[in-house]
Amino acid sequence: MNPFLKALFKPFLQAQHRKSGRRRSRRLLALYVGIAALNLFLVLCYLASLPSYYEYLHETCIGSAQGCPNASISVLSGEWRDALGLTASGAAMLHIGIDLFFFCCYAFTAALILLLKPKDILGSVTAFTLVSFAFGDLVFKQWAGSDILVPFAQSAGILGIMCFALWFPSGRITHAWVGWVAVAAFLIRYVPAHLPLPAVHVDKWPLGLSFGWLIVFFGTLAYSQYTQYRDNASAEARQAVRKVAFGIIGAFAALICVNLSLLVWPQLYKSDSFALDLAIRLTILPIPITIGSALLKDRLWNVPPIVRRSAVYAGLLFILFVIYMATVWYLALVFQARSGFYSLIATGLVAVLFSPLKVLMERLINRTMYGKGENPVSFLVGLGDRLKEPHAPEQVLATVVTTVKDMLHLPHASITILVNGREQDAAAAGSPREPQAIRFPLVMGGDQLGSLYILPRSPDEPLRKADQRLLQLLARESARIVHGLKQSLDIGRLMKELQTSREKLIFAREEERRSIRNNLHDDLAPRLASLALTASAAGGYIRKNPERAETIIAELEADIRVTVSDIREFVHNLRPPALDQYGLIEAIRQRADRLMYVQNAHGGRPDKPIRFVLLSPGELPPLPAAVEVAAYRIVSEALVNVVKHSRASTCAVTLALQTEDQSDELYVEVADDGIGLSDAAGDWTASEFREAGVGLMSIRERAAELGGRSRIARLEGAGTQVAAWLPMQIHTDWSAAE
Amino acid sequence: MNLNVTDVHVNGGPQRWKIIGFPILAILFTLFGFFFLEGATEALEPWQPSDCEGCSAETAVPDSYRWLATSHGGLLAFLFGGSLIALLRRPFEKPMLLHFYAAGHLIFLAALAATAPALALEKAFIFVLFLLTLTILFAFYHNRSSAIRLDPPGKYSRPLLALTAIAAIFLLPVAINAGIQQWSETAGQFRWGEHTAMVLTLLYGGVLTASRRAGSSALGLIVSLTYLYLGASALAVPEHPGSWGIAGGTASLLYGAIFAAATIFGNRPR
Repeated sequence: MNPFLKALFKPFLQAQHRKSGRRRSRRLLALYVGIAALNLFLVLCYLASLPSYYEYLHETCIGSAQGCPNASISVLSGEWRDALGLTASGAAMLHIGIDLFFFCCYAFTAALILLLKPKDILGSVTAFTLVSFAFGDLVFKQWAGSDILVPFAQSAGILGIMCFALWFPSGRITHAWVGWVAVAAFLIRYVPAHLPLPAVHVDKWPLGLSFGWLIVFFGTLAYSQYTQYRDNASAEARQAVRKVAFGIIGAFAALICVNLSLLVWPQLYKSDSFALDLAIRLTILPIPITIGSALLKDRLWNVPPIVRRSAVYAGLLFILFVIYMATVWYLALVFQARSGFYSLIATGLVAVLFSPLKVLMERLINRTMYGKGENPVSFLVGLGDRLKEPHAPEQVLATVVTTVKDMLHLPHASITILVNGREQDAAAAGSPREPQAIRFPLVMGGDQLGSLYILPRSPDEPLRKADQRLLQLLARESARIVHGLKQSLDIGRLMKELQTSREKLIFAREEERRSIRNNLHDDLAPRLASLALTASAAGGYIRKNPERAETIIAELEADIRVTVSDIREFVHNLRPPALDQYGLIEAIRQRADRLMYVQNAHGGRPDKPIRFVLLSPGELPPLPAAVEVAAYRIVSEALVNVVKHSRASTCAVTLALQTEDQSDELYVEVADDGIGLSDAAGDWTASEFREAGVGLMSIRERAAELGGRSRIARLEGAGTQVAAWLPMQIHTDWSAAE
Repeated sequence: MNLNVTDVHVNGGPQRWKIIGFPILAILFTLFGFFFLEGATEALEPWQPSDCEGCSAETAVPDSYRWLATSHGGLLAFLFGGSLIALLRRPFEKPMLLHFYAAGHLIFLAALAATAPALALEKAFIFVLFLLTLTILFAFYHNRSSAIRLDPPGKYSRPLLALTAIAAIFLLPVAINAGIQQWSETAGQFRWGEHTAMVLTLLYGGVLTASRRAGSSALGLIVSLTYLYLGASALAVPEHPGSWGIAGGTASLLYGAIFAAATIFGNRPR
């Protein structure tokens, strides 16, 4: 496999699946199930109270002169009811709707937390806190007769707030004493209520003690959050603490503003406490919203589409209701008269605004769920920041797909690379790729390098246009990264090959030296020593036995001639002298002539001598010595085979200069019209076969050594062709390419 | 580069008599609106003692019209007077302000004709007076066609347009109500109809401010000041007929501040 792909494939072909198989702790599961059941119980209790509450409002509160102590907020005055054109039942329904809206805000946030953080102790506690707080605050008056439910919900709400303030966001208490103080304060206030000791009951506390308790309890919780913020180095955790703090501080600031406005302009509410109560309720809403937002950061994208759509339509319904009511109220206020025409205008306004408001709500909810509409620059900066971290080149693509998946909150993102026209996975993040994945081609310089695949958040929810634009932009960046990565890996591969080739060169040189040394030491040196001994012996016989001396000298002369011949052959094997004396073309011609002569002279077929043809340019440019030697050896080897085995009548040697891939090559071809390769092989003896096989292998190796290629083939009709392409500029990779 | 001289259109500068005459006329008409038409004096009505049984500071405006006197002050002193004052400096570079001044007068006359036709016929000299005023101003204005037909705007300011749309949602019912009240007016006063004209002119001023033409900063500040003034007046006379009340007055003050901020922020050099 291509080393580029090998490198790419190694570490992260495995998609990063969610760890769904992780075992849940039984304790957490029990807590989760228990809290979900308790929340459901409280919600059902609330819903069960609505009919009686409606009856109470309708019969006792609205239009009645007597008070309405059990209503969750002050009842709408008759003046307002007239202005809004509400009947008694309509006003009761309005109250129910307002209460339901507030309760739903808490319950919906709690449900989201339970849905998206099922194995989180802090999430479970917070969900229970929200519902019990809403229950204790909104509906306790309808359950006033119950001695257990309401106190339980109120105590649980405070206990939950305490746990949240102590644990959020790290999931642990920063200082043990903070926890002890908070728990002690909680016990001091809430346990005596259930003890048969009326003297210590909270109702009997002096004002100063109650005030002191408030300072100690909530001060401890505030200090806990401060230490959580101070001690937590994580930017995300700090942001979560800030978010909750803003929600709580904002709520209290709004509450103070509402009360201040009441002090400055008492006539603003015209002694009608309905608007005041409503305003106070609204001021507290940021608290559950910010708590939910802080807990569910980066998890909202996982909300099922049906929940998102429910949120869109619930919000839309609320806004349209407010617009309708506000329009009717405002027109009645301006024109100082009641008219059915106002309702008509309000209905028309609602009808006109429905569609644009729906789009706006969808955008708002999407933005809340998926984070702000990513502006391309910030997205690319985020990607750049991640790529700034040290990565192995092959990990870069994994970082890219993880970034895309995380930033766009997608279930899947992957990059494939084109290899020989086929796409192969290079990196993937998230769930496995599905057929409906959307493909963005990665193109660089007109060449398609691969594709970026992403899976929409849900099958029935196509990508937003902004997301698509962002992904197109990202695909361009990814193409650059893939291109750069490929270049980087290519360079790495070449460096490795260069190192290997250097090692080969050194090895070959050392081998050559060892061979020469062996030849000199084992062959030449003993011969010269022997010659010296022979010469010495001849010297000893010159006076004693001149005839014997002459004989020895004659043998000595013959030995010297043999030795000289061997040395010449040895030198010839190192580099044929004809190459330096006559050049490549003439050396090949001489070699061919000699072989033809030997073949025709000894045991060949005198009746059919082989005709030798050399096709070459008149003059070759200066060639590298290694190329000259390789060409000469290849031709020699091939000619030997032709002479020995081919039974050819004609042998053509071709030398040509070619240009391939913008580099010059020397083309060497030896073709004959003999019996062909396999037919000839069939008649060969074992030694001939071995000899020819070694020769052919030698041809291949010589071409490959220079980074060239070779081909040995049977020609159409008859004959064999041995061809080699030798690069004029020797590459460093020395890789065989056949 | 060869530049063909005939291709270059060179506007002639304003004549001297226009340069001198227009500011003089602007000052005269401003004073005329402030004092002869009682724009400035009636603008102070919310803070004047009224119905005090012969006290020296008692005004001629009936108590029931004190908020509507505010409207008169807002239209003549703030919107018309303000635009003429803004035209004193480099008047010929800001044709939009003259356009606004003229459009305000035409809206006033249209409101008069539409909501009180009998009164309009009775007091036809108002038409003559206003049209004469406009004719004289335009006669002294250089390149008057640019003030009649404004150049196309570059790019509307979205925040200012949104603010104007919000104001329109709340003020159009007010304008319609005032028009209806004018129909049922029997005292021969054009107070309610004037309120209609003032509200419509104010909204038109908001739209022109959002167009970012030359002079839009000045017009934006004039509109903002008018909202602030109307808000303060509403807080001063919250219970008087037509008054926007405490809530409306507070909202108007807030709106004026926001509109001014949006105007200044939208036009600051970047």
